Amino acid sequence: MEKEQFAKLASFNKFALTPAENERLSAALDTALDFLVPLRDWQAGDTPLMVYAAGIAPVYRTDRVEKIFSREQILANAPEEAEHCFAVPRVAD
Amino acid sequence: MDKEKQLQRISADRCNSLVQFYPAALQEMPADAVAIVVDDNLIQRDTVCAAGSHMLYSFRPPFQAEAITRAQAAGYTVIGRANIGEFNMAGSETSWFGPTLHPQDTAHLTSGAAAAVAQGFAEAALIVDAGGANLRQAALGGCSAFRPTYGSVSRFGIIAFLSSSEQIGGVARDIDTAAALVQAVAGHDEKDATSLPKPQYDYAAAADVAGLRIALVEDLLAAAGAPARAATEQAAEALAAAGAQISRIRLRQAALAPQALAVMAAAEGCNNISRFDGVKYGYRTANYRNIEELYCRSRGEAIGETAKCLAMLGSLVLAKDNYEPYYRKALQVRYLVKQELDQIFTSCDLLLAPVAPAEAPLAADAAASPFPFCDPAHAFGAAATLAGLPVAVLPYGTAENGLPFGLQLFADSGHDSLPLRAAKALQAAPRKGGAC
Repeated sequence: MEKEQFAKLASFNKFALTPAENERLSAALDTALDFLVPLRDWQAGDTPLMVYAAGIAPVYRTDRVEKIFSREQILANAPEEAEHCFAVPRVAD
Repeated sequence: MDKEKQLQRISADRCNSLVQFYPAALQEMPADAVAIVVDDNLIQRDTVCAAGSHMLYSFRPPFQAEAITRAQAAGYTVIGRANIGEFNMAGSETSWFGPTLHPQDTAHLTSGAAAAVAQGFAEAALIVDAGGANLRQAALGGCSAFRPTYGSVSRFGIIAFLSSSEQIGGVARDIDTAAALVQAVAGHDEKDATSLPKPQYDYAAAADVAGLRIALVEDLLAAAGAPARAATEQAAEALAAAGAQISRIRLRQAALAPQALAVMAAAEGCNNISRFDGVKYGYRTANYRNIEELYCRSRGEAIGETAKCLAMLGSLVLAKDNYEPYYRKALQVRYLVKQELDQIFTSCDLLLAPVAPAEAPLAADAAASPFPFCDPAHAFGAAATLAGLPVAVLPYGTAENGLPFGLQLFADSGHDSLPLRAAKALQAAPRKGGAC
């Protein structure tokens, strides 16, 4: 895999990688793409697609407003909070 | 049960079966309750649920998986959380908590659920099977397991990886106990959009295979090593002796099933772990200056290499230029596999195959590459997983080192009692040498 493409995939996934990880993951992705060659080269034609196992089509609930969790419950897991909100670095000046 | 002795045994576990153990739950458990453990990717209220990842090392959800709620209502007590690979994407060697070692030989690997049940820490385990890997580890770990038809058990509250295919199942030392646990948690749940409409299921089945048409899957037999193949042939003989009609079939459309499963795992895994960003819960790096660094360093530091590899592959196969040659084709393979299986099930009731080419893998051989799907064992569970079929697995026969081989029995969707009947018959049947 080209270094540029690898870097793009890491960036898209928001992964800051160490040089050692760059090396191992680049090799692993090459291995993965080799593994997928038979699928890539298969002539699928107009075979239909099946998204879910057993051919299930998802059934969605009607939207309804419910109060499920309190602010305190949600914020209990926050790595950082400020003024009863999730704290993040400034995203706009 | 002497609870004090049990508590000491679990505390002294040398296999790393459980990532959390609740001594109070065990001690306060009513006499008629059944102790279970649950996989670490099943959400449990106010309990750390890490899914084997540093990313979620502190995550205490305020809600819980529907399957756990139903198990508790049916008299099961959760006494601990079983080790799994990170986000259930691979074996326990990828867990942030370290690998789970096989109780019979700690040079080999297994899953936390299998190790906990095999050692008698719990009667059963609720597992999330993804790609057949968790069933395989159960059988090779010396346990029986049952995964019902996709959609039978609510997936609400799973820390998802392979949403289109993963399904909750049960592990126990015998197939009846595993099926009873699954029966307690199965049934429609409106919180899961892929939940089947049937309100409840009855998995009670007699150990009776008289007249059942059972086919050996030639492709999987050929892919297994000679000893595992011989064990499967012996099982077929035992089923024939019990009255089953044995034949052989080929799964021609399943040749690309491992690749299709890998593409789906990557694509769905990529999306499912994209939510872990260090903002609302879980790990946050201490070293950031802006939001981009917060995301990238948090995910870079806390997500393991296998999950990173699958996520990056997922982005690749979903990219505009790659969707057709990879992701779309994977969904087409799934369609063809299901069509072929539907056709096969018009002339046979059940398929029989090994769960893996050999016994449980050596710890020293694991994780040679962060890409897990090169392991030939993945091919054994791929077709049944893609089609969402009900599967029963059990240990059968032993390798020279004494570790069990595993068998799988799978039937058409909705015919869940068939693999259970055959598994029970095999458990009850006398075995030639090397029985485990």
